Amino acid sequence: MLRPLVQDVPRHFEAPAVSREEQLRQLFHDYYRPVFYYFASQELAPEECRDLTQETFVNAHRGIDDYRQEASVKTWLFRIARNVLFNRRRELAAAKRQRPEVSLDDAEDQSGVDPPDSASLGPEGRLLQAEQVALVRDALARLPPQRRRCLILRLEDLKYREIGDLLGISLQAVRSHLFQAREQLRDLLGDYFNDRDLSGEDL
Amino acid sequence: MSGTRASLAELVRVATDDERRRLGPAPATDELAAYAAGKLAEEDAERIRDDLTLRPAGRQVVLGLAAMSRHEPPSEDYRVSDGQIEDAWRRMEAELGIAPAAGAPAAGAAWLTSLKAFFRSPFLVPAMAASLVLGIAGASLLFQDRETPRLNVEVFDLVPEGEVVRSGEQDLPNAFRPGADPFVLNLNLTDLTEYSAYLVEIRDAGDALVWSGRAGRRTSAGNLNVQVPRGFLAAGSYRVRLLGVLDGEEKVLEAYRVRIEP
Repeated sequence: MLRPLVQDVPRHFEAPAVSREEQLRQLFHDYYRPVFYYFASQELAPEECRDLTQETFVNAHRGIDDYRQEASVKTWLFRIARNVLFNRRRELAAAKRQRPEVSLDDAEDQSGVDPPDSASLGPEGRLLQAEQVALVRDALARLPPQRRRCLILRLEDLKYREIGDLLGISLQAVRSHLFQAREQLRDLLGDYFNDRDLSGEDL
Repeated sequence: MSGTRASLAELVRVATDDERRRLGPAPATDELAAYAAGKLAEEDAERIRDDLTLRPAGRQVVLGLAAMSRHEPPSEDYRVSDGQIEDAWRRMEAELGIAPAAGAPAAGAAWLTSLKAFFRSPFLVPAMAASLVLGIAGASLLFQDRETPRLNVEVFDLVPEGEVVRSGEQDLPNAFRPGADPFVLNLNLTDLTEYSAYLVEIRDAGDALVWSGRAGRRTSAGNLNVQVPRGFLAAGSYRVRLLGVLDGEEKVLEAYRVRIEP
């Protein structure tokens, strides 16, 4: 479940008796871990997370006077951290573009498999696909909203934890919704899809 | 992912295309932040959930804010100690040219410059004698600082609510004078379990969260110390809650009452 780690209204900026430096010091100590964990969630190396966290607070210091009181401190810092991350990725992408050679990894990235395209199917295949889509749409409509959302997100390869964070539910609830979605799909679509389609172990 | 799984995913994607096209404008970051903080009305929260399900645009915001709300790092490699935060703060001070807080060690290479000047000085011998005296005084202060949380910071001993009642004393909140200086709460607790993290929440009379932060490790007496910015607390009564985190689960360990004098 989402719960603010540190108080989520801008009191860091409300106390008139506290100096600007003291505000920044408290902000830094209260939010260092949250900002660091944000970068950690982007699968960056710890050393890079440290650098980017530092850069975030340097930028926060520069922009402290532009802080809008209507946003929470966490959201304000999140925006700064996200911009820092975007800039870093842009720099890396630009550096990559300047390199004349194409690495094997790049070549592999560019040769991704295209998703199935209905235009490539024959008339019979298109008809069959349209029928299957209609069945799936009908089955999805019968699922309770949260179960349906879990299923769609999981089929987009989101992790259980990410689904829980997005929908504001526990990991256990995600597991339970997915289990029930699978059972319900088996009941609704079992005649049209074989069991393996509907019980993939990743689902 | 198996081929059959991919085909089901693809069918679901095509089956939801119409809904995706019917979605309104993407929610703003502030609205997503309010959703993540649980501050939206249920009807609006449902709209955001549908949007996040069908449109990836807002997911990074909600997932990023969720990552910022975690109490534990994703793995041990990402654990950050209080000492590392302190070191990072010293680097910030040096980078931004902020004067170190009273009692904090000076950052950067200023001491090296002073040392070079010191060896060129004609007053080398008397200065060495003076530095010896200052060094001893400094060392004694340093050792003293290890025993007490911080110089010039008031420390208040808090006993859990239940404990006060059990001992037959009157259940009065601890009263603190108002001011801008931070103070340290020394939290006594009866639970002997060693938790991976300790969180402290301060809630006002209406149960609204006013401040929260982390407590460090237990002292040799089994207590926990937490530094609280008194400047953020207006006059009034507050309830302090101590939570332990173990295996990602939070448990309320103790509650205390405090009052800031008008």
